[in-house]
Amino acid sequence: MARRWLGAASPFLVVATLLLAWDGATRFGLADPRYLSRPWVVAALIWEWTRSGYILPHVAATFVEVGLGYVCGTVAGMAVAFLFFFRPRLAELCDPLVVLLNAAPRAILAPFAVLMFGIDLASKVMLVTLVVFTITLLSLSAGLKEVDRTIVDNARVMGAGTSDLTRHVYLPAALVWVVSAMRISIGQAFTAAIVCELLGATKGLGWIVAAGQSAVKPDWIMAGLFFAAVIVVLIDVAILAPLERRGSHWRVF
Amino acid sequence: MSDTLIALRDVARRYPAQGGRPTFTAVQDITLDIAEGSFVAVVGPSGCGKSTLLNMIAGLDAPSEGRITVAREIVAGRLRDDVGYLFQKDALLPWKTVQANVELPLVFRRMPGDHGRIAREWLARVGLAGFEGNFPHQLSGGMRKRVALAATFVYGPRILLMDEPFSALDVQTRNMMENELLDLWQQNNKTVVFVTHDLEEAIALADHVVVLTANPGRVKKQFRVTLDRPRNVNDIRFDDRFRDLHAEIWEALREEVARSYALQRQLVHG
Ligand SMILES: Nc1ncnc2c1ncn2[C@@H]1O[C@H](COP(=O)(O)OP(=O)(O)O)[C@@H](O)[C@H]1O
Ligand SMILES: [Mg+2]
Repeated sequence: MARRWLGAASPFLVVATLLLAWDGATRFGLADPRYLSRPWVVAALIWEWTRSGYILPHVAATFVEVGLGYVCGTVAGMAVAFLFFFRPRLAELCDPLVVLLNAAPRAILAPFAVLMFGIDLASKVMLVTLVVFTITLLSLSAGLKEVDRTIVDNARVMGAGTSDLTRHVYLPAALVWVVSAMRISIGQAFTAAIVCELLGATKGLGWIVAAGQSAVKPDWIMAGLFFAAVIVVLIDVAILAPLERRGSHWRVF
Repeated sequence: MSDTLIALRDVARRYPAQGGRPTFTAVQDITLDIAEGSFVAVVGPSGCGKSTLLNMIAGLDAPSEGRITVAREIVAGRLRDDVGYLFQKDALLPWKTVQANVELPLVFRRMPGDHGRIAREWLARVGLAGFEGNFPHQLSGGMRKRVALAATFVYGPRILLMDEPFSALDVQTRNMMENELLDLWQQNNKTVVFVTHDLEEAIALADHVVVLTANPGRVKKQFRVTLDRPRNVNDIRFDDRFRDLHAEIWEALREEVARSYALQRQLVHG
C-alpha cells in the first residue's frame, strides 16, 4: 500500500526535489540567481502571464506554426513512404538523401529556413514540416515492410489491385505507425519551431526565450520553456496517446 | 466432369544461391493432372514444398521450370480471378469486422448485388450468424477459419486451394469443419487442392491423395480413394477400406517423413 502511494507520488517528489535543489542552490550561493532565476519568481511570472493573457498570442503563434508543419509533414511523409514502397527503384535512388536527412542535425537548417523564408510563419512551418516529414517517412517505411505477407497475398488472391491494397490493407496497417511517428515527432516539431523563432521572430514562445536571453531575464526563458513543455505533454496525453490506443485496439499479440 | 482443370508439367521451383548457400530446389519434376470437380489432397513431410506448389498454382509465385495451366491458360505469376486460397496462417484483416472481411472480395471484384446481404448469408451458412460485428481477434481460431471460408466461398471461385487450413484447430472443431467443407464442396462443385501433413485427414476428405517426397519435393506416388460419398469424417476412420488405404499410403509416406527428419538433423548438426 505504502509502496503504491510512493509509486504514484514519485514523479511529483522528483519535481519537488529538483525545485528545492534549484531554490537551495540560488539561496546558498551555489548558483547565481541573476542567471538561473528562482522557482517562485518563475512561478509568479507564469501566473502573471496566464492571468493577464499576455502569453496567449505567443502560445497561439507557436501552436499554429507547429500545427501547420505537423499536418504538412505527416501528409508528405505518408505520401512519399507509399511512393517509395510501391516504387522500390526510386526508393533505392533516394536512399542516400533519406539517410542524410535523418542523420543531419536538422536544427542547423534553421538559419537557412529563416534566410530563405523570412522571419514570419513560413520559415517555421518549413522546418517543422521537414522534421515531421523525416520521422514519418522513416517510421512508415519500416512499418509498411512489416505488413503481414499472408494478409497481402490473401487480399491479392481475393482480387485486390494496388489501390485496393493501399486503401484496405496498407493504410489501416500504416495508421499505427503514423500515430507512433506523430508521438515521436511532436516534441521535435516544437523544438524546430522554437529554434526557428529564436533566430528570428516577432512573436512565439521562442521569441519569449530569445527576449529573455538578450535582456538577461532567466525567468522569461524558464517560463517560456515551461509553456512549451506543458503544451507538448498536454497534446500527447489528451490527443496522441488515446489515438494510439484506439488505432491499435485490434492489435492483440 | 473429369476434364483436366489444373495441369502441372515438369514444374520446378528453385531459389537462387544467396550468401554462401547454394541454389535451393524446393520442388522439381512435378507433373500432375487435377480433374475439374475433384478433391485432391497433397501430403508430404513439412518443408517438402507443399505451400510452394499451392502458391505457384495460385499465381502468387512462378515456376522456375516447367509449366502450369489452369483451364488451358498458362499461369506464370499472374493471379486468376477464379481461384480461392485458404492460407495456413490467419489472413483476415484484423482492423475490419467479420462482416466487412467477408464483403471485401466482393468489393475488390466490383461484384454487383447487395454485398451486405450476400456476406450475411455466407456467414450464416458457416454458422456465424450474430457475429457480423465482431473483430477477428474476438473470435476463436475455429471461428476465424469459418470467416475465412465464408470470405473465400462468397465470390464463388471455381478452384479452392487450401494450405493445412485446419492444422491449428482442436480435434473436435477440426472434424466439424472437415464435414462442413465436404458439404460445401459437394453443393458448389468446386475443384479442391488440399494440402496437409495429416494422412488421415487427406484420406477422409479426398478422391486422390498425392504423396510428395522429402526435399526436393517430387511426386512419389498417387492414390485413388474410392470411399463412398457423402462421407462423415468421424465415422469413416473406422471403415476397413479406410484402414487398408491408410496402411498402403503410409508405407509410401513413412520413408519420406524419416528422410525429412534425417535431413533436418543434418542441417542442425552440420
Ligand atoms: N523465399 C524462399 N527462399 C528460400 N527458400 C524458401 C523460400 N520459401 C520457401 N523456401 C524453402 O522451400 C522449401 C519448401 O517450403 P514450403 O513450400 O513452405 O514447404 P511445406 O509447405 O511443404 O512445409 C522449404 O525448405 C523452405 O525453407
Ligand atoms: Mg507449408
